[in-house]
Order: sequence, then structure tokens, then C-alpha cells
Amino acid sequence: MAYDIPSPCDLLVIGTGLTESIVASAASRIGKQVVHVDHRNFYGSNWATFSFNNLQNILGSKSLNKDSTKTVEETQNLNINLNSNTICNIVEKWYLPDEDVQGNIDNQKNLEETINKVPKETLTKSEILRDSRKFNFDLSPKLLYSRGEMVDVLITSGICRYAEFKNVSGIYTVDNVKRTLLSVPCSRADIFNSKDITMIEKRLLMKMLSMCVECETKPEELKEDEMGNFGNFLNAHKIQGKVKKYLIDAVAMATDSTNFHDAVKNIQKFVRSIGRYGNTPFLWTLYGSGELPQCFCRCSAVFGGVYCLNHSTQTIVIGSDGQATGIVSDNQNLKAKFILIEDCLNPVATIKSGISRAILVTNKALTSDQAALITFPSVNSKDPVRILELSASTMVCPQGFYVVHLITHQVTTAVEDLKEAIDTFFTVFESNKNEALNKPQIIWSLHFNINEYNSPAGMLPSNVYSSPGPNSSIDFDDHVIQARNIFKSMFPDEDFLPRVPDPEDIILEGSLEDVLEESKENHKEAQNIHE
Amino acid sequence: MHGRLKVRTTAEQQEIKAKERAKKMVIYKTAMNLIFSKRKSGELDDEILKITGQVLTENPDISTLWNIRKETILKIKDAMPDLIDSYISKELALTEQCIRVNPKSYNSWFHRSWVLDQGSSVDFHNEFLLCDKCLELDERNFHCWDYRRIIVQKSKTSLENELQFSTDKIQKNFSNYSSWHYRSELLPRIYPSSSDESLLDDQKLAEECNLVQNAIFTDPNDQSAWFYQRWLLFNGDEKFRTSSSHSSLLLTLNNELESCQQLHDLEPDNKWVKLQVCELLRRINGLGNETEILQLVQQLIKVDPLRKGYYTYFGNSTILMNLKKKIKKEFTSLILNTLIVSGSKIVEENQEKRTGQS
Repeated sequence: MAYDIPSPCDLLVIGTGLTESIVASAASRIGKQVVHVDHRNFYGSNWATFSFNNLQNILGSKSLNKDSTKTVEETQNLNINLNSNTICNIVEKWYLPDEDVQGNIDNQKNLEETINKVPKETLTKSEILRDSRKFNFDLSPKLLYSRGEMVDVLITSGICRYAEFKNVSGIYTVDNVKRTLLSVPCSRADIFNSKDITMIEKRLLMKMLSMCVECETKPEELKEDEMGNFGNFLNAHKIQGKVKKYLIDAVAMATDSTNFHDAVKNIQKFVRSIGRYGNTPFLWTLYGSGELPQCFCRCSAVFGGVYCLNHSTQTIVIGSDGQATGIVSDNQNLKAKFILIEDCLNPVATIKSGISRAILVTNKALTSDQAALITFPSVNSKDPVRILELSASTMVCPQGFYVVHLITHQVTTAVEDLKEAIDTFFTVFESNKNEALNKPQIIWSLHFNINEYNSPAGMLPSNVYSSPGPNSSIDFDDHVIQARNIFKSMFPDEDFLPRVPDPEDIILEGSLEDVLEESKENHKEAQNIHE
Repeated sequence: MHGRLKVRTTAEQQEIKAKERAKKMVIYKTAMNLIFSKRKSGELDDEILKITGQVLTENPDISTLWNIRKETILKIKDAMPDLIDSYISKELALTEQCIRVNPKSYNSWFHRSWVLDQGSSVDFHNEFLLCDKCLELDERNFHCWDYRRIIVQKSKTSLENELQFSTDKIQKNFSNYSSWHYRSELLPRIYPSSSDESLLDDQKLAEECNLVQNAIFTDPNDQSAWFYQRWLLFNGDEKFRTSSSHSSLLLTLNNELESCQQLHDLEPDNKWVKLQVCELLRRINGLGNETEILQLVQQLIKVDPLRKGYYTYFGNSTILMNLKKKIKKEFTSLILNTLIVSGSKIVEENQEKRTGQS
């Protein structure tokens, strides 16, 4: 090996997904030596964000889950599961002609046209691919609650300075009969201004919201409702019609049958988050959610973490006492006190369920928002489909295009699970289609499923931890909590991502030698990041 | 240890702060001495503007310095009237900076409006932008609301424009007394009633009632909306009673009563809605609704015991008012009866006379 990986280290992390990256940065932050490896050649694992070309290369090479042909004989050790097909049922479709039929049009002019407006006659696949880098497609797009766990940890740790965010500007649900969008009033001002609901409904909605928020401090008040599900609870309080839809589909992010407590917790988080950064409770990460794992990795590297991408791992070596001693990675023995492995690589994990995903590129917006969250409510007791519509101002596509993400719990395959929602709002692109048809047209679509795993307790050595991959929820908070729990169980007495001091409070050593020494060390760190 | 940073302790931070403060003090004292000696010798020049400006950006609340600047500006205006506009724009820049330091500085806002009167031409667009910005940061900054009224007057901006501004502010956050109050000033001027110019047009009144009802139903604990509703309905009470639009007002009051009672059913413990129901009942028919009003007063005392005296007074004054009405009524009927009785006697006497004659 040309480069030197520190061995033994305190924590060895396999996979650069979000949970792994958070734990890595937290450990580095308290001065632990962290080695973070990934067999893939990109950061983020199943949370990554890709440009058009990168996505196509990855779909082509299937390097999302690189096959490992090496077999290891030692039976005591655990073989790392590199060929699990975490991302499957991939269906990619173009609704555009392949080549520019009109021949040699000046490239520059074409590009400008694409930027200004979509000229239907000249729009071709090659033209879109020319703008490949302006597209950022998330495998697992998620939002941040403005007063949720993720925002808290980003602020306290100072990691927020590595990323930029924009407020989601509109939240919608869908009318069951008419299949039209209903704008959900989020804040007090929205409710006051709403023309969709009556004054009595406004009162009931406000009353329900403040009741749910108050029961945070006075839990005894809602005791009698604790047994039932959320739908019954709303019925008992005479909440019907649109207000019920708003509360279930958007505010509580729930269904009729959701447990009362979970729904109320979500409502509390929703209400708390309103008004901190804007009128809705949610933030979107500019350039895609895949930025966040990278931000945490960067923080880890700044505090001495060593990063190796494209570095496959074969086995977890288990010592005579049943504890893991390290891993074999590219025929090198790396020793570590603790090992964290993402669950899709975990040798003992089993598939629990899955997420159905679709990514669409469209030529027209459903809403007038820079970023909108739409809930397509559950039909036939299926889970609701969450739809994120992102405009160019969220840095995920060029002007004139929109990226639409659809996320739901997997029942059959992504194509089938999401068909109804897609057909309701979109139509496929045809260059001669009548303009009067108002639905946005799909230019390109990608469907896939992501597996979710179960890591049975007690099957791994006690110093090996398994961290969860993406789930179908709309926010990151579960993963932040799990990362904190993993960290706390490894280092029970240490602070989880404490604040990074402000530059003016840092005392640099006075003498020249010390300053030089420090700059050398910084240089080393920089090299580490580079690697 | 690797990766650990040395961070200043709070004691060290405090020491640094104390040193900085001492240094500032020295600078401040020298500057003030210099300013006063210059003024004494009548040196009202660019230098005194520069020094006062520097002190004021640190502390915009020294009225004396603002007054010295006014003196200086007036002197320059006399001596070099051609140059005054460039001095004015410097004053505007300085006050803007001071407003940034303290958005509620009386002196800065006042100096700014004084400066506007000194120049030959003012770019009011900029002034409105400044107001918009300040009111965005603090929507209840009354200094800025006042300043806005001054520039509206000076620039002769249309009142409709200002009404729209107030609507926008209320749509953003209706807990805004300043904005509701601004509306109450603007509305009768833009939409005067046909019968009385100081009152609001009927149709506009209905629209405003609807707007404020939405606010009340959204948050019945917010008193700004209740106060505005009170102004809408009970403003010019006495005039209404004698005016021709009495019946249309009664209709409005009855509508409001109906929706207030709906709200009362939903919020049985809310004191504002109880009080408003009382007020409405008293105005619609104080005499007929007396028992209901007195019941509500008792409930009010229970839910809001701190204002017991106020509610008791309200109840008593209602009783007194009704008593007056009763007495007036009885007195009138007494007189009428006497008149009728005496009238009929005269008729009888006349008839007797006639029969006697015949």
C-alpha cells in the first residue's frame, strides 16, 4: 500500500452513509483515531447524490454494490457482504429522442435555450446530458425539521457551515375525490389567511395544534385518548374534512391508524419548527441530501479522521475472546477497538422491508414553490406517498426543469407502488403534445427500490455496531438519534459532537516552532482529507 | 493531547473586554472635549461633523451632538447653499447607520425627519425601503411607524398604497397593534360613509368585520384583534344612534353577535369573547338582555378575577343605564297618560257643554 492507514485505531467505520459519517465525526471530534473506509468510489453510500452522468455510470457498472469474488476460508471470521443488492428493481426511462435531429446547431445556442426555457422542438437527450453536472439526484432525499435533531446537531457542532439550506416553501395534501392539490396552512398567519376553510374550522385546527403542543408539558390532559389511534382521536374531537386531512397527511405525517403518541410527537415537532427559518417547518439541503454525510466526513477529517474510498473490506477478524480485533481490507490487517458497519454490508443483517423510490425530471412545476412537499394520501391502507418537487433554485437541476422525488414504503416494486401517484399528476413527454394539457410532462424517470435491513441483536461481537441505512421517513431525525446512541454506547462519558470553538477564542502557541509544528500537523490532516 | 484546542476561559475573555472598555472610555472623553471646545470657538465645520458622527455611531442617543450637527448643517446651508444636498445625503447615511445600531433611537429618527426638510429634493423611495426593512425586523417599532406617517405626508403617497401595506403586515402577523391602528386611521379617510365623513362606508365595514373575525377565530387570546373589532363596531357610538344608518348597523351588530356566540360555544372560558358578547348585547338591546349580560359578568369575574372591579362596574353601569331607560319610558307614558286623561276630560266637558247647549 502506498499510503499509511493508522493501525490500530480507535474506531473503524465501514461505509460512508449518514449514520456512519455522524458517528465518525463525533469520535474524531473527541480525539479518537478514526479510519473510515468505503469500497465505493463516492461518499454517501445509499444516501449519495449523483449528477446525471455519474448516476448513469453507476447504474451501468452496478458499482452501487460492487461484487466481491474473493472468498475467505476462516470460519470464525465474518465475511463482509459486499454483493448485497441494496438497490434493486432499477428501471430507467427516457421520453426524449436520443440525438439532436436537427443536426449541427451551435452548442452554445442550444445551451442558452435550455437555460431560458424548454424549447420543445429541440429538446433532446444529449442536450440534457450536456448539462449533466447541473442535476443532483438523491438516492435518499430527506428534509430537516427546523427544530429537529439534525438541525440541532449541525448547529451545536458547527458542521452547518459546510452546507447551505433553503426553506421548503409549500406543503400540500391531495383531495381524495378531485385529486387536486390542497395547500396546507402551516403557521398561524397561514391559517388566518386561508380561504379554503371556514372560521370555525380555523378555530378547531388552531385548538388541536395548541392542544398537542401543550400536552408536551401537561401530558395528563390527554390521558383518556392514549389508547386509541390518531384517526379516532380526531373523530372524538369532531375534526372532519379538510382540517382532518391537513392534520393527518401533513402535520402529523401519519395515517388514520397511526398510534396516537407518535402522531402527537410529530405534530409537536412540526409546530415547534415553524417560523424558525420560514413559514414551513422544513429545510432542504442545497445540492442534495447527499451533501450531509460528506459534511460529517469533512468534520471528521478536520479532527484527524483518515478516509479511504475505493477500498474494499473482506472480513471482520474475531479474536479468541469473541471480540472483533479488526478487519482485513485489501489484504491488509487493520486493527481497531470498535468497528461500525453499515447494515447493508453487515454479514448477519437480513432484509426487513424496503423503500419504493422514483426520480422524475419534468418540464413544468406542479406548484409555484422553490421546494414543495406533497403528500399523496394512503389508499387501501397502503402508506402515503411523499412527493418532493424541487426547482432550479434548490441547486438540483438547471433552470426550466424540475426534479421530483417520490418516496413510499415498498409493497411490490417501485414502478407499481408509485404508479397511481405519478399518473395523477404527470404525463409523459411528447414533443407535439397540446399545450392545453396542464400536467407537467416527464422527460426522464428512474424507479428503484432500496432494501431496509434488520440487524439481530447479539449476533455481532459486542464491539461491532451496525448502523441503519435510509428509511422511508421524510426527515433525518431517527438516524441522528441512532448515531448518538451508537456513539454513547462506545464512549459513554464523552460529549456527542460538542461545539467547535470560534476562531478568535483559539489561543495559538506563541513561539514560532509551535506554530510551525501546528501547521505541519494541519498539512498532514489536509493530506488525510485528500486521501 | 492531539486534536484538543486551547480555548480562552471566561475570566480571560472578561479581562480582554475590560481593557477594551477602558480604551473606549479614553477615546470617548477626548472626542467629547474636542467637540465642546470647537463649538465654543464657533468652529462648526467638516471636522466637527466627522467627530460627532463617529461618537454617534457608537452611541446614537446623545441629543446634544445631534443638535450641534443641526447647527452646523444650518450654518452650511446659509453659507454654501449649493453644497447642502451632499451634506444632506451624508446625514441620511449617518442616521441610517445609527438606526442600525439602535432601531429605537428617538434622536436618530427625529434627526432624519428634520434633515428631510432641509434639502431641496428627497428620494422618498429610499425612505420607504428603510421603513420596510425596519418594520420587517421589528413589525411593532413605533418609531418607524411614526416616521412612515411623516414620509407619507411629505411625499404625498396614496393612502390606498398604505392600506395595502397595512394589510400585508397583518397577513404576515396579525398580532400587530400598530398595523391595525394604522388601518383605523386610513379607512375612514379612504372609504368615508355617505352619511358621516368620519365613519366607515357600510360595505368596507363588512369586509373589515370579516377580516378581523378570521383573526379572532384563529387566535381568540390575541387582544390586538379584539381591540380592532371594538373600534370597528363601537367607534362613533353616539353618532350612529342618531344617524339614518341605524338599521344597517343593527344588522352588523347582530351578525357579529351571532359569530361571537358561536365562538363562545367553542371557547367557553375565553374572557375576550364573553366581554364582546356583553358589549354587543348591551348595544343591541341593553334592557331586554339585562339578565343575560349580568350572567356573563358573573362568569367573567370567575375566569378573570384580576379584573373583577372592571366587570362589576360594567354590570352596574348596565343596570344604571337600563334604569334610566325605564324611568324615561315610564315618565313618558305617565305624561302621555296624563295628557290622554286630561285630553279626554276636555272632550267630555266639551260634549257635555254641547249637549247642554242643545
